Amino acid sequence: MTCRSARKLIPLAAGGDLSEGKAGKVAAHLKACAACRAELDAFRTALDRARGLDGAAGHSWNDAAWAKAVRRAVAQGSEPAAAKPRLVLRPAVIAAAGAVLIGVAALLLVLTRNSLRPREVLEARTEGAKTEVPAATEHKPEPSPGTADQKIVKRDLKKKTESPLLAAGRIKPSPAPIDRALTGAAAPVAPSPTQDIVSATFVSQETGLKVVWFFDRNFNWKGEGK
Amino acid sequence: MNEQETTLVEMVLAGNSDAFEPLVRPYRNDLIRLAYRMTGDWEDANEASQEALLRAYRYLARFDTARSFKNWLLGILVNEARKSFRKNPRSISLAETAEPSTPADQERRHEEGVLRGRLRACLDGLSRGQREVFILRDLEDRNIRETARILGASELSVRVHLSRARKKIKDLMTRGAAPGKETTS
Repeated sequence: MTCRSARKLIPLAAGGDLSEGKAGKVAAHLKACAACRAELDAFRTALDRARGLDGAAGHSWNDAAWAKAVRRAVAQGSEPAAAKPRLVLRPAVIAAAGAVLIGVAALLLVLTRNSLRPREVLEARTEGAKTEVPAATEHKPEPSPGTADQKIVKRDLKKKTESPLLAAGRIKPSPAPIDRALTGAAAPVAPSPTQDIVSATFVSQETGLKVVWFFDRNFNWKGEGK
Repeated sequence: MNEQETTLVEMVLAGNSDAFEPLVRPYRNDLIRLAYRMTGDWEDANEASQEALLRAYRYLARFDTARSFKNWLLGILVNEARKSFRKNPRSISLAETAEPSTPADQERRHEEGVLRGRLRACLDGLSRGQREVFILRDLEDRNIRETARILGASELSVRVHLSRARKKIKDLMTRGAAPGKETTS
């Protein structure tokens, strides 16, 4: 053992608080190191002095004070514990916790509604896009969408717009028009000054067949594409 | 915990409040001395000890009879002394003894006074953990395990605090004893 490691243990060794193994190592080092022995003696002397200055050792609880303290403990200890000051804050804490919970619930509700909404992608179509609408293709879907072997996994709303947000697909349209289109409802779409063409895309999960239907602003079927 | 204590605890819990006094009587002086060492003031010590007795009586049902009643009681006292010290922080003293000094002891008393002042300052400089461990282990002469139980700490933590506390105490006492370096505080 080096002096450095011994010095770390000497404070505990001075009070006999080392484990047997460490105490043995320290003792072996002390036999050969006078400086560490002096250090140990200095610790022991300091502890003895500190104990000698402890004036509390000679004091005791007098009989009258003791009897009074015990009587008080028995009398007051039998009573129910007094309400702690922090209980006064309880309504405020509850109100704060309630506000936090309401906020979290509202946030969860918004997130849940967003996640349940059908995935709709809004794409901007220019006037030229109208001309790109293909004619009927060889893969014609069933006349009524949503048959047993086809499941709609994606629906697109394609709009003609000048808005850069719409072009970037960051604004989602209401699903109501698409729902009507899928169910064959005849109700016209509320006219929008910026929307001329609406498309719905159907993808079969089994075959991967993808069909796009195009509608005008009154939801009249205009054609389909792949 | 011995059988007598177990019996007394059961009697108190059964509603016999007279059994409480003989239950805590063996620790009467331990309570007041430890409270004084921790608070540094007899009035605060008295208050903390009374509060510890009250809580011991009130919460006796929570006491685990497999453990030491003495350590449980002193643990309550330590908590009360901490509260008292927080409410009324003051310099911890190791007590000026009440006995008047004789003229023959004046020189020794003077030296002790200087050392006591340094020790008081040193205890103030210790962290709460170091101070509590030093008081329990070196002044109350409790072993490491008892100290850990009373403080609700691990034995390793007690050793670490004890080692650091002893280093500080030793440095201060050594400087105080060195000629030419003494200063009254």
